[in-house]
Amino acid sequence: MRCRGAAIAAFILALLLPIFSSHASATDTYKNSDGSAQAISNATNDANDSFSELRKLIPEDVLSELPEGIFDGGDTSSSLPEKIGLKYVFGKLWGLIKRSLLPAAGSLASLLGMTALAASFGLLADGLNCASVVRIFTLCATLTVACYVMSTQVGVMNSASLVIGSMTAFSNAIIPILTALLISSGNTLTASVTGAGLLEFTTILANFTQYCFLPLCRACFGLAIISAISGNGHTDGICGIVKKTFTVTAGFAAALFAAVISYQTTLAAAADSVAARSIKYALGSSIPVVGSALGDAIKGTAAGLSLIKSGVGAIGIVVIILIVSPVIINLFLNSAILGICSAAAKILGCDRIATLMAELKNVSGFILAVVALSTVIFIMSLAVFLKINPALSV
Amino acid sequence: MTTLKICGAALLCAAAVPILREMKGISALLSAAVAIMAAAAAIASIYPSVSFLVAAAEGTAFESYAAILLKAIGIGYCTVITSDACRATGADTAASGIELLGRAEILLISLPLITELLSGIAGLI
Repeated sequence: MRCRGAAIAAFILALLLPIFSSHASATDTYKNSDGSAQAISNATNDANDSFSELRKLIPEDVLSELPEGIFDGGDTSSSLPEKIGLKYVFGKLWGLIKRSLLPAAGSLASLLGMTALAASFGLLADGLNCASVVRIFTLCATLTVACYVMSTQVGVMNSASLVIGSMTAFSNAIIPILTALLISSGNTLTASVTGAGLLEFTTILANFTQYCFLPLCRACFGLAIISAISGNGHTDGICGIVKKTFTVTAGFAAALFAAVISYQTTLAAAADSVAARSIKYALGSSIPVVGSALGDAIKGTAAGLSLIKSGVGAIGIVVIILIVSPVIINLFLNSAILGICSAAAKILGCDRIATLMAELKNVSGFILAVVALSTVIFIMSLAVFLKINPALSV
Repeated sequence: MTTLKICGAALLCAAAVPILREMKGISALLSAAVAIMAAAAAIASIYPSVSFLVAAAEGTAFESYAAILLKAIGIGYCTVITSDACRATGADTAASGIELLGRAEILLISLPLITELLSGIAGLI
């Protein structure tokens, strides 16, 4: 009697399995003698669907940077480590650095030229023996440099904001794919925990960019100009304080988020593994003759899905790196340029211009910190996704 | 050579002023004339350097800003030379007025910069 009950339970579970594994059907494999091979074949065929779905989400400029044929062919996942490995990523980064160096050198030259011009006119103004006229001329010279610097900085700030937006949009699009793949692998609890957590994070980041990041940048920019124009030194370093406070707080929040996601995922993956083991044990012990074959088929399906998940996740990480790298490199070079110009202005005796450049360097550093932090969190979260073992493979 | 001539004229003026002190107004006018002559010579000697700076800025992204700076320095020099001449003749009030006018003029040519700065910051939204 008990045995019949177990058999009925196993049959119901076997019927429910296809719902969880949407890509590869367990019942199809049940019909074949070589279930594992068929399951892998099914999963590999479905990989193309996942990759073509992923392809649609990638921005055009990033898509052109990806290796040829990365989304074609059945063995995409197996050839991925060679195509988008460390060598590829570092090669691309080096290429981006080389491409950014020339415009950065031009920007440095023009900013230094502007500083030198203002300093030269400042020297001419020093000859005037009227303090009030010299003061107003210094204000005019500082405003001139501020206007010129701002015309270069607005583009940098907007590109940072745009890149966070496109990174958030890409993550919002890739998370459901990875979640679906996790559910297919039997990690239902893990998928709900990690997917929901990551979507929550992307929402927070989008809101932060819209309501906090840009207004804060604007405020810092305004403060930098005020501190340069007033020249009384009371507002010096405010941008530095804002940057330090913000990065420490955001860094702590990010570390907390990463820790919570990691341990939640580990716990959920363990729970999913136990559930899947129970199902497999029930199937193996209660279905006569083909029970163990069905277990192997499930294992094969899970392995195929894991391969797809790894491929999608790896491409996702590379795409995020390619989206963010140009902006991070530009921000880094921009900070260096502003630092050099600040030093040059100090040497030329233009203290106000030096203060302006130093404060703008702080603003640039703040933007760099925000973009880098967001990128690291996204990559870490995707890596957490990749590290999850399929529950059905146990 | 010009500098030597101007210096000589200034020394002559310095020698003449105590002698002409009895003749009211003449010594002041002489001082003002020498001051204006010296300033004109200074402007003439500065001109090549300024035109070099302007030529260097031509065709660059900061050409328009260089023009504003040039205008501001020109106004500054005119203001200070005129106010000094006014002071030399004892017209201190006129000198103060001229300085105020110069400051206002420089602020006026800086207004487009302030507008550009504000609109740039607003553009960050």
